[in-house]
Amino acid sequence: MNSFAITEFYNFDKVRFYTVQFTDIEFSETDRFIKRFESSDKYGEFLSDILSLIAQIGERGAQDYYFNRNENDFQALPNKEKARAAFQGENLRLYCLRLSNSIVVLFNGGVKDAPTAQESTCSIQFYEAFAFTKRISEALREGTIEINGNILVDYKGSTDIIL
Amino acid sequence: MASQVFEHALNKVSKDSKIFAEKSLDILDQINFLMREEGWTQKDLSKKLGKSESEISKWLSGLHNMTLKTVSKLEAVFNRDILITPIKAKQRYSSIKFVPVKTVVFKSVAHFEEKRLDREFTYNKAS
Repeated sequence: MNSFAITEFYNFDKVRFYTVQFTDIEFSETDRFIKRFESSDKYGEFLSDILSLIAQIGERGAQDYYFNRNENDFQALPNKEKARAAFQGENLRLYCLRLSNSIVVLFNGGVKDAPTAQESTCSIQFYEAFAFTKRISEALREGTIEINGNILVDYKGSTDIIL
Repeated sequence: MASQVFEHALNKVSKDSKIFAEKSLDILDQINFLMREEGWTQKDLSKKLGKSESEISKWLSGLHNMTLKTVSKLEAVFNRDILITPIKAKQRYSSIKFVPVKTVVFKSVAHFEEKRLDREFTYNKAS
């Protein structure tokens, strides 16, 4: 996977949402997800639902039970990282990684139009989410990045994080 | 820096989407409260409902568009309300004749001291 930055996406009262951005691409993965579906007649409403859900969770706290992580997609993968989950509006998925009640990292997503994400139109984003999750989880385990309250910092204490 | 794309898109979100998200999480909060009270895991709940764990997990995730039928099944298993309309709530709570509240009325400073301190303490009456 190419190197990517972890950048702040939006800071609500109870949750700081981060996103990921490839260093050679203009927009973050979550911005790309929004731009792809915001004008869609078919999926625009589901995107609205997901955005509303993000705002609601931002105000309540990222309770573990708000996130569906038993979806077959995740169980099928070798790395059963428990924090990995998805926001879903009907069959539209936005993949994410819940790190704590106050930190969630948003990725990209797409339409799940087959029984599994691997077979769906969103398979690329699904595997990318898996790869992002793996890199971030490894970085946390190695101490390359740390959780400081509701802020992600690198080992030097900087909020500019490139993995 | 906050995402301008997100902010712009969030400002255009319809009122019904906001209500849907809010009520979805209200329901999840209520269900999880009931599960904690009963000491049930999702596995326990799935057994009581006769459903698979993955189906229950789907029900209990973020934006699952829960049908009234599903809510009814959950209410039946918990034997408690998850959804209640304002009219029903008013009918139910207006039938409560009294709510026990402990109050203490202070007739004077001396009276206050008596209530505040140990019974054996002697006090001086205020004039």
